[in-house]
Amino acid sequence: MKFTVPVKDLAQALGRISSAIPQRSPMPVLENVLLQLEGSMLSLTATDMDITMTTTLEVRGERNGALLLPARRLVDTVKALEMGEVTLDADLNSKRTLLNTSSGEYRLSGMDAAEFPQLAAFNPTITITLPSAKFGGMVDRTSFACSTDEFRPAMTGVLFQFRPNEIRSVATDGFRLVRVIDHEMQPQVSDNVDVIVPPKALQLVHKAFGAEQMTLEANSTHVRFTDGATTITARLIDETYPNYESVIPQANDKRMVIRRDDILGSVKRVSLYSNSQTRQVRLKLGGNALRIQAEDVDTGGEAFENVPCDYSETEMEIGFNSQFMREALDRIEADEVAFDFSTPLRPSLISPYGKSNGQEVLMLLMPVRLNS
Amino acid sequence: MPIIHRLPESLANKIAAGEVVQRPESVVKELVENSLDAGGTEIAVITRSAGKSLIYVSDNGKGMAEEDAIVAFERHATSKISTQDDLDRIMTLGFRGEALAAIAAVAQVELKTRQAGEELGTLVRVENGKVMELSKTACERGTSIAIKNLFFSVPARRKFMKSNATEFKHTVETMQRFALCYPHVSFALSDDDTIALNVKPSGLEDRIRAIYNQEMLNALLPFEASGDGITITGYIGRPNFARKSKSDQYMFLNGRYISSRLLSHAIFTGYEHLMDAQSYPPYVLYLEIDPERVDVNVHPTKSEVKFDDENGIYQMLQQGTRRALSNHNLVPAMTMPPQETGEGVLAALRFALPTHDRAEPFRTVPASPSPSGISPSGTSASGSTGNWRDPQPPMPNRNREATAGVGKDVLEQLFGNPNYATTPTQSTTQVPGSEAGVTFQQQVRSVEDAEHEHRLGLWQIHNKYILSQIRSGLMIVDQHVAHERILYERAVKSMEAAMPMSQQLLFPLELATNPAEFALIRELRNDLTGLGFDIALERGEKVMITGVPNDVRAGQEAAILRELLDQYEEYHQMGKTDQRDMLAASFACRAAIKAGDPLSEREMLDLIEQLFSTTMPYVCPHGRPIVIRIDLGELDRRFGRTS
Amino acid sequence: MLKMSQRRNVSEMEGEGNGEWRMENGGLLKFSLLAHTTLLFYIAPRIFMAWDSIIGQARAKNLLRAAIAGGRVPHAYLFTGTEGVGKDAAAIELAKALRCEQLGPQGTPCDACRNCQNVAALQHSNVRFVFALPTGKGEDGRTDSPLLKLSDGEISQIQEQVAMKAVNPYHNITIPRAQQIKISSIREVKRDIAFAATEPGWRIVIISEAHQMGEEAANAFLKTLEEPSPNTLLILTSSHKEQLLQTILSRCQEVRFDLLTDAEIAEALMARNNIPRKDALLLSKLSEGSYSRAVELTNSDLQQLRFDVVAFLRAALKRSPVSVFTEVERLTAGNDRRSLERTLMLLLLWFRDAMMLRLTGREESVVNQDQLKDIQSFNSKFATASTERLIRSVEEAIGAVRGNAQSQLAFIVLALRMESICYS
Repeated sequence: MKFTVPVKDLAQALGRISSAIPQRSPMPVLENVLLQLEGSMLSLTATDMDITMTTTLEVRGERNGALLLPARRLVDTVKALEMGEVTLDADLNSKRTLLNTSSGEYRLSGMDAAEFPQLAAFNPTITITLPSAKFGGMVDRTSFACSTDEFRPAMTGVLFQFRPNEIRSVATDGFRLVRVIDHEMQPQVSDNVDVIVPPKALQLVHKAFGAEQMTLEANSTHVRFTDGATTITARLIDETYPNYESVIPQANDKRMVIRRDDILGSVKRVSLYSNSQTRQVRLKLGGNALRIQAEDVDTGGEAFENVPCDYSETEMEIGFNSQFMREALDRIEADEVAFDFSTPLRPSLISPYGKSNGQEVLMLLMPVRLNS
Repeated sequence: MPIIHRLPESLANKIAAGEVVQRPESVVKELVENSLDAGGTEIAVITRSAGKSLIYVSDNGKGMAEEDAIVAFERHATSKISTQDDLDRIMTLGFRGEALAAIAAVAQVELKTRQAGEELGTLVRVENGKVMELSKTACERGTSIAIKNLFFSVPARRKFMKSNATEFKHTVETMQRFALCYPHVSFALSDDDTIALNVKPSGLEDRIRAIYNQEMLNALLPFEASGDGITITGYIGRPNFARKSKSDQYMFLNGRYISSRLLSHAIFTGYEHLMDAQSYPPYVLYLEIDPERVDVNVHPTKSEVKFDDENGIYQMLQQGTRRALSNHNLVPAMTMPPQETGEGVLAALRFALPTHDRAEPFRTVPASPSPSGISPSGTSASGSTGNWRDPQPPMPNRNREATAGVGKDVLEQLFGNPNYATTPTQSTTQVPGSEAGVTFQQQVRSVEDAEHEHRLGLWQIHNKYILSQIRSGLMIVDQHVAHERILYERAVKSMEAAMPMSQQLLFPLELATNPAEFALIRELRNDLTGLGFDIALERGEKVMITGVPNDVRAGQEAAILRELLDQYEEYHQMGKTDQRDMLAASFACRAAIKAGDPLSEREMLDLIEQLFSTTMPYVCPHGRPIVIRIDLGELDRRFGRTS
Repeated sequence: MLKMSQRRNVSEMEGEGNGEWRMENGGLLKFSLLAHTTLLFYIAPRIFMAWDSIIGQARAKNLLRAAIAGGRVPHAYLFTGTEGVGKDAAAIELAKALRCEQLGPQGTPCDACRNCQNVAALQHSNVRFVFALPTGKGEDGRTDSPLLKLSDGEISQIQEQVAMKAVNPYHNITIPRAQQIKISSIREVKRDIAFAATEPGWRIVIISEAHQMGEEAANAFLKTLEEPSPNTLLILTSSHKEQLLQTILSRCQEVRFDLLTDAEIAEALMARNNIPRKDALLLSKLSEGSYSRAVELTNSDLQQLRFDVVAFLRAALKRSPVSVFTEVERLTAGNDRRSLERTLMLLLLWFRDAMMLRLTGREESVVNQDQLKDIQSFNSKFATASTERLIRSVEEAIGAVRGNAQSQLAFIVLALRMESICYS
């Protein structure tokens, strides 16, 4: 295998896939990058067995072939090379590899490409082209609410539901739940397809992808995102997602409408005085006013703010973890938000009030029972 | 034909000897008690083969007349008790008078004794319980007894003796007890060529130092309690000096070593949660009680006692312990030996506890400038830390506006004003409500920025300990135990509140239980709710958790509840009874952050803030220390800055 | 078979590179040297294919093969038995069989396909081999992956040990400071099972020496056992079954692995380790039914020790207290209880030879062939001495050593007993 390429291009390509290289692995072969050259197309692949990233770049190819090179050494070397061109020349028998630049030579040893784990052939059952920004927004709005509890594995991922004319994304950790429905991205699937995607894969997509459009392909075991030259293939979480629809209340009849910035600012300030462990704030509603208060018996801190709002139902008091409130409100893009309450121990709903941008966002928060 | 034979006297003695004389140690104990009764102030014990071949005890006491010397070997003959009244007012140790007779029955005994004013003393040699020789001899004033070939006539018993090392260890322990109980008496003990003890008359604290070391002395807090014909004095150990065995627990009743599980327990409970169940606080306590209120004739080894008013003494010990602990700063400081010892620097680092002027337990110690390495600044700092229940008024110059400085205040109150890099926080936090709508975004940001800039001087090392600069030097906090303490107190409070807080769950967690667990949960349900676990019990031993305490880590809810129940069971089996207390301690232990959890600066600040709002920030519910302090003076000395 | 010394040479070679070693048994060892680790891949020799690579254990093997052939594989197995009798080896073989692309009759893996080779190399994406690991500095058991906080040195040690296990499934993985199967390893298993399989078909998790799971890890694993996933087989192996939670035991199908017979061990030593027959016989007698213990013994100075025990016996029978004491000092100097036991076993073996020779008169029944003359002269000189009583007295001494008796005393008592038995 032999090719020549501008250092900049190779460094960029390695940078794109480097986040898929495992930091520590019992399988030493994973500490390598797979290089495959066919004509003028060089592809680089790294995997941690959960997520596989491949990127391609144009090179001046001289001799086709495939080889494994130690990832850390290769990345460090290429990053440090002077600008200009580099020629990689590998003897596929001895696996000795030579990196040649105008100023010097670097020799390293590779391994047989056949040692690299072979990825099972990927046959997608659905293929959807999506606007990257929009999909990214959906991911942003949901993935923060994922659970980190391995023992409820389904909830550690984001559920995507592809329907003939909508896409839904859902995340929950058992304390809150987010559901985003996008009516504009029309997947054109004939069947309903549900996949649970690990958030790490979504993060990588977010980090590595820049183009306007991206492709999402999925089957029952894997999902693949493609953005031009780069693909990210991830194993799906193969579990049953909890029946989230059944826990979203339908009859919360106490509605409060409030300026998002008002309530978010108040919550942020008042929560400074909440107990730093529990972070809880108390909401008192009544007569078109909201009083947010917090106290910390441990340190004697206390604070409250009154915020004007539309609320004409019976008076009520309800407690929330302020961090959950902030995280939810932070991700709602609207001037005004609607809170729909039922009773102090039942789930409350938050949604943007007024016009939506084609995405229907619903946040559900479980309250904290307050001590009276 | 006679059916019943009278047991020969010698046999009766041998049987009784089994009770009194079990091993060389019991012989030493009996003889030294006799020496003390005789007013000896210099008592020497010499043994060979740990006492198996020879036990020699000599004293400079008042000695005996010839008649008494012979009588001494007769059972139940004692000069000390002649009337029932005497029995009621037992103030001497060898009151039963059976000691010598018992010993004489199982060994060869040679006794030399001379009273003051007599020219010649008496020599008595007894073998097999029979007087073999009685003569006049020249000897020192006082009494000396040599016991040879213990159990020579009872081979079966001889076999029961353990190795020399073990037997001698018992003797050493007994002699240490005497030495602690009678600091004004000099004691010497040697076996073959080993000198195990050699202490001169002194005050108690010197005696403690002589038997242990300076660290032990530093580890003790003075104890005092009195009332109703009872006075108790002595020392109890600081909680972090708890031992895994009872070996450093000494209680003396009217000059007699006693052991009483009841009284031990009283002291233990006085430590409340400063000590876990398998730990034993060291103590040296002297009970002076009117003998009429005490029955001491319970067991021949004379260490189990009974009291008329057990409850009263129990209360006195428990409360005295609490008082002694709360009167003293329990923050352990790290001290180094005052002089280089030639060992490596690290080897020289060791932990000890500070003593304080107010709390100076050992007044007779000559006023050396810093007997335990406390510098003047350390003393002044402890002035404000010493009484943590009643903090000193805050320093006037501290920054009252600082929002994030709550922890600062706390630290200041406790440790004096720390030299924080003071960043002006100004009025960013004082957001006027009316204008909030326009500028809050900005202002909120500036609050957050301020939080960032506000370097608090907190560092986490090895994801385990938090270091902080305090005025008197350096403070080190163990994050796990600190959190445990916080959670414990919060849990107790939470259970006392009528309606505690509980984060409700979207998907109730199902906990499959066995019938025993189910029953336990049913029994504890109210208090579990008090902790914040909302629980529904369903058929088929299913437990649904619908709400959890806020301070439980996400994902751990069910696991913590289960562990909580296990821990509760464990406490229960250990004989604890206070249900809430057990639950709170179990919860705290299981839910606390662990060593190895990385903390942000904000989290560290929170932790320390909350720690110092607890009622006992220095010791965790299991008795481990939470905070250690290194005085600046120590550091200065270490770096050779001392002038 | 690969020997330690040869492997060391590999890692001591300068620089980086790749290469192959043809092993004495016909196996092929491929290695590559990288910056901080040595990679070894082993291609098993033809003669020990598939289930034949497991020494003995006919019953367990038949049971497993029948389960594979009949499609009756449970969701969790527990392989129990003494260390070094082939539990891990069988687990790996079972994984191979389940993954094999060309499975032969009676659940025989082909040993040739990519799946078989990757499983054998412990590098298969669907086969996870879990073992005790050290804990890294500042490791957060909650969030860090089990290897994240370990040093490069520790990582290469671990990779090396895995490679050695792949070369020799009887290899006993030893990693300094690795006392526990970490909770994070179990979390990783749990997470892995929750994910869709990398490749279709069976997923196998082998928890080697499962009793090394700590309390937390065991409880976490229990959840995994309680909720079996389709096409997923959990294999636990343990040489200390009694240390496993009852709840774990009850959820696994147990397969007992018997002690190996002396003949099985001797044969394996000859075939796999190129040990000459007479040594193999001797080692097998001392191995207490464990192949890996027998291999361990090949590295000890057994030969010298065999002469030393005879010298001890001579001294005892010479009725010379001074020489008895010298011999005792020599035998007990700086030796741990385990090797003292071994010393006594050698003496036991010698008496066994004497007894066999007396009873059968067949010289070939003697294990200590090179000492045949000594044994014969002992038999003629002490014809009336009861070898049975001698053997019993050695056994008592072994018991005493095991019971933590003062070792010199135990040997001296033994010398006195032997003397009185021989001269009675």
